[in-house]
Amino acid sequence: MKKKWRVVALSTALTATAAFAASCGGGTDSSGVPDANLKQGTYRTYTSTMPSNWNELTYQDNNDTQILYNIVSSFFEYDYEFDESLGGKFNADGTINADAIVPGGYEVKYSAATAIEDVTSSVDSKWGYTAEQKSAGGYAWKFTLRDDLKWDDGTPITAEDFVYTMQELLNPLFFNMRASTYYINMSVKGARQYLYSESDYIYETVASHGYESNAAAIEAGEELYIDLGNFYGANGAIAVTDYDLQYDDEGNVTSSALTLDYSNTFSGDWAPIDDTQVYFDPMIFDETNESNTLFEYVNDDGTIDTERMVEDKVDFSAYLFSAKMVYDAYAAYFEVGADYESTVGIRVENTNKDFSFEDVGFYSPSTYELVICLDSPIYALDEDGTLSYEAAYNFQNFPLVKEDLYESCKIAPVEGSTLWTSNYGSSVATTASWGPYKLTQFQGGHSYTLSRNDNWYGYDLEDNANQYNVTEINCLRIEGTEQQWMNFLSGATDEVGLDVGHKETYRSSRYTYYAPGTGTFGIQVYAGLDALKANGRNNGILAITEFRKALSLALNRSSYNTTVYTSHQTCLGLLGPSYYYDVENGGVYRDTVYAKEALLRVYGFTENGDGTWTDGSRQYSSYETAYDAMTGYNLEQAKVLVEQAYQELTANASEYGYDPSKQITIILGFAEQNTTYDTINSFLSSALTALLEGTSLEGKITLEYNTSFGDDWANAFRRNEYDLAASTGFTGGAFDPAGTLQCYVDPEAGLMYATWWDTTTDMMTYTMPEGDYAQSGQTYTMSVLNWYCCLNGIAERRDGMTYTFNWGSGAVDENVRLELLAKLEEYILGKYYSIQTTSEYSAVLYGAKFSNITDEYNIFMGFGGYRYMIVNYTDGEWTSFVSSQGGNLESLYRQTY
Amino acid sequence: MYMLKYTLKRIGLMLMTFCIIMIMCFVLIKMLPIVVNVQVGQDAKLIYGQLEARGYICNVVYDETTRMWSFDTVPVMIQFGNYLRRIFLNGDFGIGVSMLQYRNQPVWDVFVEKLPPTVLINVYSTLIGVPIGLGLGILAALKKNKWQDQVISVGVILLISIPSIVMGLIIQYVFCYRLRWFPLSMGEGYDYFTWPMFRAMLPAVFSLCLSSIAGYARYTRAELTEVLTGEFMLLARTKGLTRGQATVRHALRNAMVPIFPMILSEFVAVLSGSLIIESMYNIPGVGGLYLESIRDQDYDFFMLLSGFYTLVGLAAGIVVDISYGFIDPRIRMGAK
Repeated sequence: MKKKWRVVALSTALTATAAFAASCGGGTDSSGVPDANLKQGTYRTYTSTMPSNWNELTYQDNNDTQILYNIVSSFFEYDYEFDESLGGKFNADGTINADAIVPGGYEVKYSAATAIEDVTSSVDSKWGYTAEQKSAGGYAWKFTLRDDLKWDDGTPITAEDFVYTMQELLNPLFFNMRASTYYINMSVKGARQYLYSESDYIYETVASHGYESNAAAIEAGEELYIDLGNFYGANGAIAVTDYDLQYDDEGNVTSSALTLDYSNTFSGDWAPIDDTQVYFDPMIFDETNESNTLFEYVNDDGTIDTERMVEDKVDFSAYLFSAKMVYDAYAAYFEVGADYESTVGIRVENTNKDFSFEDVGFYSPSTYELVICLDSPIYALDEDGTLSYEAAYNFQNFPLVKEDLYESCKIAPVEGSTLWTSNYGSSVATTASWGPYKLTQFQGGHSYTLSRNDNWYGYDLEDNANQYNVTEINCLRIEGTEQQWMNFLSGATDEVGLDVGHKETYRSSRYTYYAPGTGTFGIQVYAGLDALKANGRNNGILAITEFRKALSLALNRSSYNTTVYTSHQTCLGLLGPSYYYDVENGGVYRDTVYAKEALLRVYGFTENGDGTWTDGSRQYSSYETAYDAMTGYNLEQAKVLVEQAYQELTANASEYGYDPSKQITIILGFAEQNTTYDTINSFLSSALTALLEGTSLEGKITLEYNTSFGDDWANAFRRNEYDLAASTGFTGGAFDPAGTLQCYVDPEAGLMYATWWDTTTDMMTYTMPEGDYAQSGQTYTMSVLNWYCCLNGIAERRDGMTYTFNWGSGAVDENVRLELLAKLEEYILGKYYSIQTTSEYSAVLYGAKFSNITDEYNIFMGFGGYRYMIVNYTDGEWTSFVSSQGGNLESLYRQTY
Repeated sequence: MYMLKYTLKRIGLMLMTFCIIMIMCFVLIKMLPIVVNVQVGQDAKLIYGQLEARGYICNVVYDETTRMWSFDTVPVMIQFGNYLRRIFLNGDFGIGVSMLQYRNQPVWDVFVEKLPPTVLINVYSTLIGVPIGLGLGILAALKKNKWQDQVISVGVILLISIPSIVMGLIIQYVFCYRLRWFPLSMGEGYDYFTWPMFRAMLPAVFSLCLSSIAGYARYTRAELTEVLTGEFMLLARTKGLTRGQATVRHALRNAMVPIFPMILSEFVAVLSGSLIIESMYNIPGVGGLYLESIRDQDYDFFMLLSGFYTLVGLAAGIVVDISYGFIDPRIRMGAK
């Protein structure tokens, strides 16, 4: 499966980190561009949450990437496209010719890599590529690296370092957070198998094998095992080869014997429940354990003085145990359904055992060459051999850690754990950089500083001339919005996010920049009837499609977004306006005829036979005029739907668990309480009141506001602890709109809110568009999940697929894919499990100390990032300037164009 | 001898109370449902595998029907046993797991790194607050019902009425943002005994100590007013002491019996209550950690900080009780 979430995240970071080399062949190090003697300065920014872990193998989220993206380099990079007819990239004095920037244009250039070659047809046969795959290509790629790559301390970097890092990333002892990138986002051969290769066996519960009791399992011939390690603390226990204890009538020991075998100790946690091998409890070594009365018999060398114990006639029976003894003593606790059910299990062989890293498709044939072998193809080169956008998109870089430092940062598992961890990339001492900046100061929870890395190869490249004038980046943690603004307005920081409280004052400021994002949000509506009937809220009506559609049509989204958010825009689809199906030509999915017509149908428009459209009250001459007029808000139609839903509800009251004598309660749930959520609640309450007014349901529905769900809010919704989850959605996947649908239909992704919706059995019938492919014009009925898998070319690799067509990117004409994608989007929206409202649009004020190279937002370059940032004032000049303004820049930043 | 026995007994009781509280904390935090966040594009099996390998959960099952993952929590007492073993055998307090800013960092190191600024702003707050508070209280008592007393009383009421967080905002806006007497945020580094660092801490210190000053002044005034009317004060004056001598040598000492414990308890209260002020002035202290550790269910951070605050609270109780005996020789704890 080709998913590109992480890579998308990386591409957005280009705004801050773009680092690249010359346009081909690794670039020339000549300096034909004159030194423009530009001002340089320190950029001061802030963060609400400090990064903690910028280890490429384990980083968690965008907080961590604040540092990470500035200290790594890229194999291939995006850059602005400069119009040569307007003078090209550089002016005569060496400054950047901003006027020549082609709006929306971009180029992909070599950076840390100097060449890429498709080697699918020539790699070793052990990778198993078929003749067809070899012919198609795109499965195996060879990268040639620059020979001057260095760490910030000057240590050279070779291809072997990347291989070492990949092996560590997939190290089964660590379960590194980012390991899945190389078997989910990019399917490197053998990556998953190697990651899960450590265990000999896994132990599955008796219940999971379908047995009602442990006895039933034994009777069926299963051998049961007990987790003595965790249940009894048995690991390290010394085997008892012989023992004897004789008591008198009063229970006192009269004679005893005890022989231990120190060469045989218990390990590995699990043992068969009928194992009678007796061990001596390792508790005896624990001086702090109050139950341990025999510590005095532990010798200095760690052995046990058994002779003295026998002489003293000590009763050591409590220290003896075997798997059988433990199981027999606590059998009731281990039964199916009992508290310690998981302590007993059935052993299943781990089929991935002993998988060697040599069988992972990532190796180094020579010092500066790296080969990657994939299960799914990536087309990194255009037909003319130039780099395609996919090169930088998929192969922007591979993780890299500095071997000696990484080894010293490994942390062994703590007691009770088997997980190895690492503190690599969590402080200045544990950080190594090979990017344009290096970490020079870090204070946990407070601040960090990134300074220019003079050992970075990029500074010598002609293409980077007179750029990177931000020589230092200072970041402070500032949590409160008011504190963030005070710092910005007093000139102490150089940017601030525009928030609801300041939007009226600064939304038109000449210093405010707006940027679209992929985030698409809305309201998730719980519609699983079984759970609704059981929740005691009498709200089975949510399972009726007409009611959910009425909720959707009753929302004035324009007003909603203006009221609730600072700069976000209205969005009616699952995919917002930042999803590109053809990046190279600027093809936006939302702008296609298929996507527009799909939304029109969802929101109550119908097409007349002559190409005109109607919403029931007005006629529109074309789909485009209808689309422009569409708001998604139609209160009149919504009220009609409410009546229909009410008729359905009352006619089938028992089916929906509806009690007419009781109020219907719908819970609007959130993780926490804040002003945004308060506003949403207020808005939705008003919208619901307006919707029900004059209908049969007027006064019968109560909307409850609950902000207690905390971090578990998503699963709480899936458990139907509440019914409406507002301001929720997904972000990422800008260049893979078809793949993004996984969030809504693929249960394996674990992201679906509508967990009650069985996409494996919900059938959709559709006639495939005409085109030059085998299934052209054929009508198929298959599950929604099957359609999704075919659309993304992954059906062949998924279990349970009725059809295994490959309509993935490049396999069929893009129009075919777009039409099918729109159909799927329409089908999903038509369920009204997700009522879409909003697409992400962020607003940031950049201070006067710096200027962006352009005001035009570019999907790859943002506003140019640190690389292209123009320094208007040096640090000293800025201090003087701020003083000259009386230490307050409010009036300056209120200026509009 | 009585005092020693009493002290030892109190310490013993304190340790027992400490252990009970810690067990309760461990059990309660572990009883909260474990939150598993699988992000877009992540392998859910891997995320559950991490938690399983950490010894938090077991028996992870993916239900094909409900599309939900389920798991069992490893029995809490087994986890507690493991926790104690690694503390006592290895001195290992664990690493951050779920708190975003401290993931994979040793909790003890983070704690030790962050403790000094928290202690410092509280010590500064006490050092500034006590003399000013006592001074105002004494002045108000000596000038009872005169204009000085009235002015101080009004000020005291005002300061007590305004929560320290509001006071913090006012101080920050007026003195840091508008007048620029102090920086808005504390700078980087660990050298806390420099003038720039001290200057950066002052707004936070004032935010913390103003209400304390009001408290000290009000309490001192009340105690001293009562003592000054005592018959022994008349005796002191009649034996020839000046008013000042009688006040300092006799009245103030008697008044200090309830005031000194108040200073100690105020210090502890401020220590645990400075978390919002720390956040406001970007002071890298330990205050905010505790709340975050509960919110994010970062067990090791939670346990260490619970231990710290519990110990501080319990120890302060003992010190306060014992201090009575030192201030007033007539008080002998534990004496029969």
